[in-house]
Amino acid sequence: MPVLGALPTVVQLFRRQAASTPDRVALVAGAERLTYAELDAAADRLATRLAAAGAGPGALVGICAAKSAACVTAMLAVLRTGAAYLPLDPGHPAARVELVLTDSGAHLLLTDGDPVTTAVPVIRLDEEHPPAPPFPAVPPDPAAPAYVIYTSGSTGRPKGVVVPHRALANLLTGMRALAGSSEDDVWLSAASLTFDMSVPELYLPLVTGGRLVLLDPKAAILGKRLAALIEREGVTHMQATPSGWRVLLYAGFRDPKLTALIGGEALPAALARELRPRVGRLVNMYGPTEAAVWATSWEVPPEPETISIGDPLPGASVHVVDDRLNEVTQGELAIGGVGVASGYLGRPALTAERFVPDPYGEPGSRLYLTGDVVRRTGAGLEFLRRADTQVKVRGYRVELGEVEAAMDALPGVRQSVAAVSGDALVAFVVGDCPDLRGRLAEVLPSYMVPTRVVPLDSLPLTPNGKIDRRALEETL
Amino acid sequence: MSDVLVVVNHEEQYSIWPAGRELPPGWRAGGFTGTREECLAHIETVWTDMRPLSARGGR
Repeated sequence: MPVLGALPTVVQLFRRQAASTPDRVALVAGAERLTYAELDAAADRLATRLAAAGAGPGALVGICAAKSAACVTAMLAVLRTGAAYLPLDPGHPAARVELVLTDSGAHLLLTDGDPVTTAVPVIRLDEEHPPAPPFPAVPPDPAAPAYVIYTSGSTGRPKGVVVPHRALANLLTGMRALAGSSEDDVWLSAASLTFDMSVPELYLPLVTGGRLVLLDPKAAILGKRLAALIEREGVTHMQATPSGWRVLLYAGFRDPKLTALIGGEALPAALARELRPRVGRLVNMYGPTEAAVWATSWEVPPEPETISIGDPLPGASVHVVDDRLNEVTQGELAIGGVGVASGYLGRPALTAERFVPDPYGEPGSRLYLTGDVVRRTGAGLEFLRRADTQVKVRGYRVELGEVEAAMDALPGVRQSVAAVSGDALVAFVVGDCPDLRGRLAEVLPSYMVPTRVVPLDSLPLTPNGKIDRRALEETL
Repeated sequence: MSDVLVVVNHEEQYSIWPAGRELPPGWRAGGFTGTREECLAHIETVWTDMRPLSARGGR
């Protein structure tokens, strides 16, 4: 596949950018401001330290830190050594962080807090690292992993999606063309690092000479404060989920200069109509972690009647297929092209099942089967529903099966079903488990903990003896 | 239920393909046919190094 290796990786792109605009501000985090030269030098110091601790091609390095300059430095430093990084959320339960870290087989952990584990060597991000000469970064192989992001797993075990450098480079190239990102642009990054929406917003400004403004995800729920930050820092580009944009709308937000990217869950038409006149551009973004964040986009017109997920980004191809991969008008959306992930870390069967031969693409290439049922229309692709029980909760991807497996593992729970109602997760539980929500919060991220628990004597069944999910959902 | 084929590409990545349908370019048969579940179980045991072949320079 000759064309695939041609794009420079994020390691080379950032290094080149830092050399060409050393004195421009690269990153703003609260009161902290780093120029390109400062960020580059900090990444060199940490990369030198990491390489001495064994980071290099083939290694995986966990990063468990609040969203900060130190954490962006850590991502750049890990990539510079040739290793891949694994973002971990310090806000998740320690048991969850440790489970992911162990499952991933990470070789090192970088953290700004107390280490959650003694299983791997730990390097503190708040330590001073001695000055180091420019780190002799080896250009990574385009097929080598850049990052691993864990998503919810339907059988109760989260799964790590391995994204190679060429997919990341392709994403940045496509997003640069789509968003028109340049040296004059300022990107606000408010997404959690474990949510892959953070990937384009962190790297795109840094490889185009723009400015990256960091906001702690917890602060992004304060609409007035967020709106003030956008105005003060002159933000030109921002991504958020529909829930995130609603927060800004409630605060009376309006900014005709802003390019607003909306994604992570289905865009309701009413929200699109309300948001569109309040921003300069509104673009609906669609894509799974398995196809490197965004695979399609749709420029929302004034007064949209129906919502589309649009057309593929450069480097991506999309096919609507039946269960034998024949193209159909309505069916499962399959994504091919440069952005397709390598697979699920250490999960051969699951990878083989979801990443299948692409009969329409380059020889030997693969399609990722998204599980999203879509329809081809004149305006592009229209999302209809999931083919399984994956749901979105405030933009987070949740497999109901994983929530159910966690509930079923609790003492006293005989049977359970999870369902989604609006922005909330609801649990139907047969059995007796005091403080079910508290127990779940010890093992699951907060967005996976049901906000409501409905006790039942038994679960309704369909005529063929399966749990009748629809009947339960209709009670909500 | 129709049979399924285990297939492998140039990066030594495994997947499954409907038996009887012409193999897509760049894929070869992996020497195992069965139900979908049997093929996936087979892949679970034989696909031991999941790194793409071109990225196996590291450790």
